[in-house]
Amino acid sequence: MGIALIIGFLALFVLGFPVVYSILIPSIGYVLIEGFPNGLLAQRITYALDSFPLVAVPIFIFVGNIMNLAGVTERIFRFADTLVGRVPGGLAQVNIFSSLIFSGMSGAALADVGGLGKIEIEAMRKRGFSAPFAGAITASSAVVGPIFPPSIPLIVYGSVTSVSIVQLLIAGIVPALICIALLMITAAILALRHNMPRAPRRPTLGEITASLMPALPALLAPVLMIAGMMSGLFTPTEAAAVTAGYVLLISGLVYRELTWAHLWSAMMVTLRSTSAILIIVAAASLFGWILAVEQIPQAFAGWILQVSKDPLMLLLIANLIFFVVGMFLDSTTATLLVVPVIAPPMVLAGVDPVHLGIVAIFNLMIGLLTPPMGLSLYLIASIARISLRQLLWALLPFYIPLLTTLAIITFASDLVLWLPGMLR
Amino acid sequence: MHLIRRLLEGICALLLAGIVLVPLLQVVLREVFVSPMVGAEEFTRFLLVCLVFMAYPLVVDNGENIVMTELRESLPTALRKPLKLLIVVCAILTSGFIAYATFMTVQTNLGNTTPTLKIPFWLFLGSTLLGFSGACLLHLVHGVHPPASEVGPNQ
Amino acid sequence: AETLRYAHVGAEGDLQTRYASEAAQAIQEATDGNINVQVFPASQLGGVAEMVDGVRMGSIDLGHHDFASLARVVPEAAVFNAPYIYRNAEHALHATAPDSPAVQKINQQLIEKGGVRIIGRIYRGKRHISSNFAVKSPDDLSREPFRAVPLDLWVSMVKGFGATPTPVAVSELPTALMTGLVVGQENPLTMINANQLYEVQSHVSLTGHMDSVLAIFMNERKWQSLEESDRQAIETVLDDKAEQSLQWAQTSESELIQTLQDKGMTILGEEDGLDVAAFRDQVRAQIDKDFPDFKPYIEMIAEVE
Ligand code: NA
Ligand code: NA
Repeated sequence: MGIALIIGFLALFVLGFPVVYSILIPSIGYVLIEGFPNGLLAQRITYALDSFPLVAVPIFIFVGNIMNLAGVTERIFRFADTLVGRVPGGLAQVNIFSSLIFSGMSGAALADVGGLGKIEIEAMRKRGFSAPFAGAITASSAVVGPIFPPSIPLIVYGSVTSVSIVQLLIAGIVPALICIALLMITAAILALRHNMPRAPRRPTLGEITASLMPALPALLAPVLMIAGMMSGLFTPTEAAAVTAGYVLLISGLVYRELTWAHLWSAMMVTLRSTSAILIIVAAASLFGWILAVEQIPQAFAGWILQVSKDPLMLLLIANLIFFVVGMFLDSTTATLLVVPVIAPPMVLAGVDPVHLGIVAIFNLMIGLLTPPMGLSLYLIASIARISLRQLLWALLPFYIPLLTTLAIITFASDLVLWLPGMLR
Repeated sequence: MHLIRRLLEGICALLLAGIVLVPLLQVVLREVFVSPMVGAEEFTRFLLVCLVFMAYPLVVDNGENIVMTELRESLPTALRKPLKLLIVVCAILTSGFIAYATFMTVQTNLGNTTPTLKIPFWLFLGSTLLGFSGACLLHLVHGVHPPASEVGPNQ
Repeated sequence: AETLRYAHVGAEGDLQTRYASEAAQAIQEATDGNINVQVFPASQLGGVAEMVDGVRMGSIDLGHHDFASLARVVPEAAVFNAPYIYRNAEHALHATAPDSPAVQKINQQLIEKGGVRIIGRIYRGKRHISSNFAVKSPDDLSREPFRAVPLDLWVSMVKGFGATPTPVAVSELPTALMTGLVVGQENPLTMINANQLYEVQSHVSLTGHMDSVLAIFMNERKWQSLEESDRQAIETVLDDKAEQSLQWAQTSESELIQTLQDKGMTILGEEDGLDVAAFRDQVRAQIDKDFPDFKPYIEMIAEVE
């Protein structure tokens, strides 16, 4: 019965049913066939959202939207351009660096690519970069943001597995910085080889300070968040709210670009994105309940612990599973449906749940860049107005830094757990 | 229809404002005045549940449900059209059934409240009911008159 | 054979988890395989509120948790968790037996209002305060942020400690204690050890403010659908296991004190100047003020041998 449910879900999903109904239809079928009370449907769907960590989801989406609308994003982008525009690859480096903060804020990797990605690709094309290269840079850099705070995927992971969200967010910082460095090196090598455009001369100190001043309030937002969480001043959800208050303040009072119309439209976009993502969280929790009753996670745990009890071996198996799943499912859906099955036996065998979280999310994000169902690929190809083939060719060298980072964070658990270790 | 939409948008905007402001207020009360509100978290969670379900009809109305259309769109028209019809019918039936199940549950669950603020649980379920019945209705409307955005050039 | 789904939120290694799996085994034997109990630990079927409602509705057959979790059906059920109302652990075990007068009175209301019945209990040990400085009297906690389970009873009790009740989820507790979002928390020693709170806390004050007794509750329709002989067998098993759980708790408490000391924690008892009486008086006064409805039940509990 459990297997039939999973097959049912996959079939509907692939056929193009909205994810929420792909999950609900087999679940309703199960409840009716097995004679469970109908109230289970209502109860489980509603209770799933009664969660304080998930409150951060709409707040971060809101922050992201306000930043885009009120010119905050643009100022950070301009500052980064002044600062590293002279580095080989110029604007490509800017593109990579800005993803660290901004991607991961919308909960759907696709929305990240659609929002900031559009601005980035346009800017790069204007500066004379080839469209496929601009697309490849945007796609590969969007993978990193979700393991660097703020990150909705990590919040969802933490709320599904009851792992400390503060620990997860802090754990992602070092791996994300490593990946960013590797991506920037790759971009620099490519830029030198193909003689790509960069700023004509070094920026003067005056130019740097001139562009830093308007960007400073915006740059402080992530700093405020990380410092606030690490010092125990507030929880991740509260950090999100403080960031929102702060961004509203600077875009309204310092930049004076925020209008009521902006605010309203940011709110409308936010509440629809929130609902679209969290309605899946609700449906997936019903599905997860049924899988638990059917003892699927237990069966899987028994099977996988028979294969191996070595944490490193188990992590490699997990990586393989996430990679395959990531090719087909959106990262949030995958986290909700797959992680509750995979995580318990891993943790039982001694894998650190925080470590596993970083590996899982990063891996699932790479999955968005791999055919046949790499969801980011289609979107970027369409934004950059290039063919999928062109994009894949340009993307090829970037799999090297991404997979290298994945290997590093899989094997070097100390590196991932070093920063959060200072908090426990 | 337009009026109902505006009303729903207004309610959801208020819920969202509350979701941002209550944790912000809590930080100020706790860190500045050392007297946190008891039940602030519970209230914010309540707002979140209401926001997600109340905004769901807006998601449906804008055709923003998360979906993977790649395979479906690559099918020949002869297959794609009946498949799309099937999806609409299933969406109507599914959201309708969830709404029905929630309605029955609300009636048997009247006494339940949240632990601290005593928010009656039927309010939570009420938003689920409203969200899925609204979605059901809009799936039906869209099934009859597909919105412009979904009518592509090759249809 | 009938299969019963038994859910609880206890983690691996906790006494309650051992209780549930051993009870399931014993019930199968005692009913000659008539009743097969399938245990779902670690919140697999949902959190506390969801589990209680699931048992009421019948999607889950039985579960266990603090008596206070049943307060969403009958508010007075929380009285069995009230701090400082039992003379000692044996008294707590006897006063919470399904046939004790106070439990019977609550049970009647639970069945009528919620369709659930208490069929047993688990003794899980005394709850104590842990903190990152020495706490010897309520004055030491005055206006300090202290973690409170988000239930009225706990909020009231933490106020009685003199502290400011601050909600923190279990998963964020180690971080919140480390960063100082809260200066302390209270739990049985088994939890402090299992969740490695010794890494972020320096002191344990043996206040023993609560005897943690968990209620085992079952869907009433399901209960009535079972054979009379099976019901009796189940009750006997649960009662035997409850007596055993008391022994487990008492043995483990002395072992745990040693373990936590080895981990570097300072354990404060009355001989070290811990003023348990001051905690008792302040907490009881606060509870009496906030929960006047508890009074008749507290008297009934006091009368139990
Ligand atoms: Na980017
Ligand atoms: Na990020």
